Amino acid sequence: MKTARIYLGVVIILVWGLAPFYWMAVTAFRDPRYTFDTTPWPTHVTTENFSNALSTSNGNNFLRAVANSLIIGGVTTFIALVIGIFCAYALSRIDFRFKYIVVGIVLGASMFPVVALVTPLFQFFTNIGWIGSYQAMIIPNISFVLPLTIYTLTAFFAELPWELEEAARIDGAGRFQAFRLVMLPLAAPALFTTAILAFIAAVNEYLLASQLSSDKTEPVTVAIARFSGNDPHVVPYAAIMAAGTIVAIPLVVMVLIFQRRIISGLTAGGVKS
Amino acid sequence: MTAQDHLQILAGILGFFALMAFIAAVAGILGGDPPVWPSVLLLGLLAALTYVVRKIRA
Repeated sequence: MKTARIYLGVVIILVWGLAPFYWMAVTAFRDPRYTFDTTPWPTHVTTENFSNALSTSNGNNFLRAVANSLIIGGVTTFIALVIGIFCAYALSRIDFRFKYIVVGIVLGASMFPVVALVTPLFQFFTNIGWIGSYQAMIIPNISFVLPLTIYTLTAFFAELPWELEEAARIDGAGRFQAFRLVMLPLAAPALFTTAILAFIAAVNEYLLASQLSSDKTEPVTVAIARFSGNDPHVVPYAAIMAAGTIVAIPLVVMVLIFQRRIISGLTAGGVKS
Repeated sequence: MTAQDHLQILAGILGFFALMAFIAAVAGILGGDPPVWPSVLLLGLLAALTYVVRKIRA
């Protein structure tokens, strides 16, 4: 009976979580004339929406937006990782005065509402001529992804055995050498997990990108929201759903492949051994 | 983590938001049309920060 209730709970959570994605996929494969059909399974199946989503005839450039997202997400992830590694190492390994104040500042930065920064950033980037550039989205994104990176990596570094680092120091390695040659290779799985999480967070960012990007640099989240169809007065929901499906599939596959690493990354440091 | 560490984290969060409120207050004053709420918020955050810092030092 207890097992049945557990499975019932799992089914409810699965349906609750997957229903929007299922509906997105069903609508993506449905003939645009039947977009508002409420049949819960695929009907009038067609791939026309996908060709509409990838078409550039209506002023959309979905593939360029995907490339922009990869550039913004990739650069953001790389820089956030480089900074985050050193910060996390210091927070987990080095005892210094007011260490936890730094932790509090990082926590405060992660709690800060993004919407409060949109107008100041827009004004600032307009003044320095950065509106519509990649760096206008990458630099704020780094500050939003960094807390996540630092917290995940701090938990990992704290779990690594101190003895290995001490042994390297005794053998003559400096602190940075011990970090680079001993600790960093051991933390490689953690870096990988953090990179995935940071990349997903950066690619999913919409609010800042909607204000700071231009037609040439807009990421996929903004491009989908601005999708236009044959008729300028009709929102092309079916093509939007197709574009959403195209974007979601690689992320879902990536998370499915690396789910064990991601879960271990998110739960690292949660239990004292 | 000790209670002192928790207080330090709280001080960090309050300090960060106090800095943001300070920037908002100064920007309002320099802009020529200062709204009152950033200064009130700054006052509240500074009061809380002072209390936390005194608890850390005690």
